Amino acid sequence: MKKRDDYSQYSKAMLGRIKTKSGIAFLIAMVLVLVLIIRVIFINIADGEEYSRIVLNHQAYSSRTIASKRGSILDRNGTVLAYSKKVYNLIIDPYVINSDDKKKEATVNAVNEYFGVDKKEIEDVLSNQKDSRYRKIKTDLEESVVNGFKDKTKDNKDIDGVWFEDDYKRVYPFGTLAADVIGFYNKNNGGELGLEKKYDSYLTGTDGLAYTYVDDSMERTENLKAAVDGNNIVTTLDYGAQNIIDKYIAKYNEAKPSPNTGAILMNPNTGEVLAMSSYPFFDLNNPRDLKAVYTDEQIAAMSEEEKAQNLAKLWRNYCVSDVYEPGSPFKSITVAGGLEEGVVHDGDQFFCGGSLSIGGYTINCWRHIYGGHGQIFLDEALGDSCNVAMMEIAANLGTDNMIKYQSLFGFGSKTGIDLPSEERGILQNPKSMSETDLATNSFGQNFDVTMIQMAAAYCSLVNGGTYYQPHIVKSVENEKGEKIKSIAPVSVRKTVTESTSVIIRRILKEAVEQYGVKYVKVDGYSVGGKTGTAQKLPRSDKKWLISVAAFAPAENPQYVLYVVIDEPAGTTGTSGSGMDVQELTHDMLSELLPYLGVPKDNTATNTEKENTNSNTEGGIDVPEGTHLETEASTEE
Amino acid sequence: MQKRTVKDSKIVKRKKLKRIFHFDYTLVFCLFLIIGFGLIMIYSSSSYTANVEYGDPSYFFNRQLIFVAIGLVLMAAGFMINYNALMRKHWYLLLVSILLLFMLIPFGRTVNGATRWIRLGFFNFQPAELVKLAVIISVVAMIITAGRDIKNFKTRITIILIIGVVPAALVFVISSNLSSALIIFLIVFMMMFIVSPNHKNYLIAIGVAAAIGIVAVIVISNMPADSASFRFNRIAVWLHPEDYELTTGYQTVQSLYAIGSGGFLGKGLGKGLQKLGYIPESQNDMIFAVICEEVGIFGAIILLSIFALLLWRIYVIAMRAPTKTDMLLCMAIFFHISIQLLLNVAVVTNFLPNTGVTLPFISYGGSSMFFLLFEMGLVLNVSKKIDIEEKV
Repeated sequence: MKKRDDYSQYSKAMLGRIKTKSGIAFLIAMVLVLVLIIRVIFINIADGEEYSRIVLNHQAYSSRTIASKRGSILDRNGTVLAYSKKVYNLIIDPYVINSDDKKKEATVNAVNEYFGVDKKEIEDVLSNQKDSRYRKIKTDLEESVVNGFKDKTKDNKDIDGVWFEDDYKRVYPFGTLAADVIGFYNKNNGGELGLEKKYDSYLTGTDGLAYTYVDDSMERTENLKAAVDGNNIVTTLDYGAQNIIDKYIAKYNEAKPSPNTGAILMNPNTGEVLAMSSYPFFDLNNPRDLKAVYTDEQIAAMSEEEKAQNLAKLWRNYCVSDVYEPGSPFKSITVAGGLEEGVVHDGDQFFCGGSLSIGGYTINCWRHIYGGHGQIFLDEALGDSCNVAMMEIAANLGTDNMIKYQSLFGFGSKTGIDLPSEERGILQNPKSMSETDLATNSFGQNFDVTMIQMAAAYCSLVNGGTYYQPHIVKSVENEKGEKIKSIAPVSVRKTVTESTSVIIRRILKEAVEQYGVKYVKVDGYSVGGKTGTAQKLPRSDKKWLISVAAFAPAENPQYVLYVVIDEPAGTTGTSGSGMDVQELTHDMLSELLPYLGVPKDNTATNTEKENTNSNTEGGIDVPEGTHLETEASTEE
Repeated sequence: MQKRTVKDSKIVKRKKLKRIFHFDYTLVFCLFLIIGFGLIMIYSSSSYTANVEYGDPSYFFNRQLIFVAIGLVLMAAGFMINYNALMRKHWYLLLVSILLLFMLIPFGRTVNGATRWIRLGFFNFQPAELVKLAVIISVVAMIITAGRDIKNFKTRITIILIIGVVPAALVFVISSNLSSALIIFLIVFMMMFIVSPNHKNYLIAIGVAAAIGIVAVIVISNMPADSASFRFNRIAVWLHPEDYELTTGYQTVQSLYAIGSGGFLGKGLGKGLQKLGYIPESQNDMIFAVICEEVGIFGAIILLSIFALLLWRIYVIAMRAPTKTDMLLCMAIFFHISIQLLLNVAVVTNFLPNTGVTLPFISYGGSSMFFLLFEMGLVLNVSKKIDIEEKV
């Protein structure tokens, strides 16, 4: 049986050629495979990075943000005034849950039992948002609660499509403390008030991104771009001082509620604000709650618009956003201006007959009921708040100089403090200002100022004449605590000379020790100060605003405290009395001075408290003066 | 003829057994490696789409598993049959395959503008794949029949026209399947190349084709985009896929993104992102892009190396084949697999315009898997004869 040989048809040479050419074909194929491998490598090298980015961008449809942590707000000693606490949001994935009836039942039950979320609510979401991969069901869950749920459900494989998203909740550990200054944060609007608003861009971090995709086993897998936390801001506030001031203001208003009570504690040598308090208070952790100020019935009676208005009123920082006529504490500036211009000298004498007739008005001194101050030296004229002497000094100064010194001390323009919604107040127009206006300006009436303007002006008056821009933030730190920005004191201008400042300090010390401000005195400490009872508009209402500007130590002031009580209880319709604000200031100082470590430099024992001139300054009827057009303040 | 003794019959039995189990193990090993990897990649690349469209992530995987099982039965058939008988009837085979192709006109199923499938209940049959097999059998049969006449240029041109150009043209016209037409033509062309006594004509032909191609590309790239017809447009897309990213260049650009984002080691099996609805039918023609994305350059090199090893084994079997028929059959199959592999990878890497060619043994699809595995059965069929024939 011979097998037929196919090869027999061909010559050996031809067969060899076929084999050679097959070999060539094989080699060509191999070379082409190699070329393609090189092509794949080339694509990766040439465009790999860009293509990777494009591919990741494709996943944006299923991306979600990773919340960044908002920076904290610290006081000057590192006490945390505001911080963001890690919490969890409960997220359900309707697409996954709907994929299986058994899963759906188990999951809905578990969420209902553990978190108390209404079953119907979950089922509504599951049926209305069938294909959604992300639905937020509950927010602000504590870590322990979340871990509890995970432990409880880890063995139940049917519970699926439930996960927890990291989030942050803003916490204000001291609630009402310095509420108007710190402000609060709202997830939708960001910082809404105070420092939270002013420093929002520093406090806000950069959210991260998680690209979610589905891997081959239908599991959710994530690619993360981490969040960058916000920066911390270190304020000049002193928690202890703020706490003392808030405490006494709250205590005072508990006994005698006032529409507004404000206090500012500053370092006159730097312009740093150590404490700023604005009553009525509200709780930063619950800023929309009106219950602190209004009764339930009152709240129930309010329309939504009224509620919003009342909230805005509550959130207003009285210290920077409200204007008023300052009254007698301004007399120190009138005297300082007079000394600078040489229209009055240390040791000059004045005669106060109880009143002065100017521009058709008879303007009283508060002592007119006692027949006036009589013959007095400059010390007593300022220390015991003589209006007649002030009007004489102002008349000699003239309107231009009055406006000049008001402007030098920062009145009529914003101080530039790092808080939102600062008002600028308003001064008389020097061209149209009448002599009555000039006379009333001399004792702080008929022009509008803010509390921060007064406090900053007093700082410069007692520190030797340097006007510092008031500020409340010292530095900005990143999340690691490294300083990324320092805010140094800004010396704006020179207001008065050192010698004028020395005279004013001496007189205001005497004022506390023997004249009209003696109820402010704190045993063992040298304190200077000036009180005032300003009449509010309309004059016929006989409403008063009482205030004290004080500083200590008197010779070398380290602290300036300015306290204002607006319409103190029981004064409306009377001639007014500055007694309450003196006592409040005294109470604050007697705790603040030891706390702040102010040296006890006054060895003289205070025996004069029950002394002869026991009358405290009262109010007088002030001519209304030229009408001031209040400009609409533009917010920064 | 003598009467066989019991002892003789035992020896014969052992010889038969030996014959069955004597085949090229390296080839089988490579083949199973590729198929196994292919199944993994089918699952990875299709599970997202499958879940979205069929609610079952393993829809395509399960079907491909069945295709592979049927394919292995066909491979066993190819391993057992006497293909010489088939070769004698090659005209019938060619006729049947072309008739099936014509059946597309009344019964075809149109997908993406091309009518390529006949609905057969469980799966859609692609006649072009059968035409490829028929052409492979026919071209070998015709070379053998031609005998020494193959030396004549006329004979070879006739074979190219009848077996190469006509079926390719029919496949192209009836099923708009340019890639299958190209593969059919190239198989016949390459077969003529290896059997021809000279190679000048072929080099000239390749040169002329390349020149025409380059001129065409230059002309088309200078034509305003809107005046270009679909086919020309395809070339414009090939030259500047980014310009057509949102329309016709979409698939190409997305596959380039996948390859480029894979890096050296890839994103890991199952971790690719581009298959999530970005590469259309990522389990079919563009599966190599998903492979590059998930197992990276490294994985792509390993896969292509295994393919190279497989091709090398087919080539070795061809060179050792006991008869000329065996040798030519193996070489024809070698050309089929290598051309298809090279075309697919070249398209996916945008070396060539997008023509819709599948990656052998890996891309999803029944028809292609069946006939490729049957062809591998034929190669193994040849391989089992080698050593035994040589020893006896």
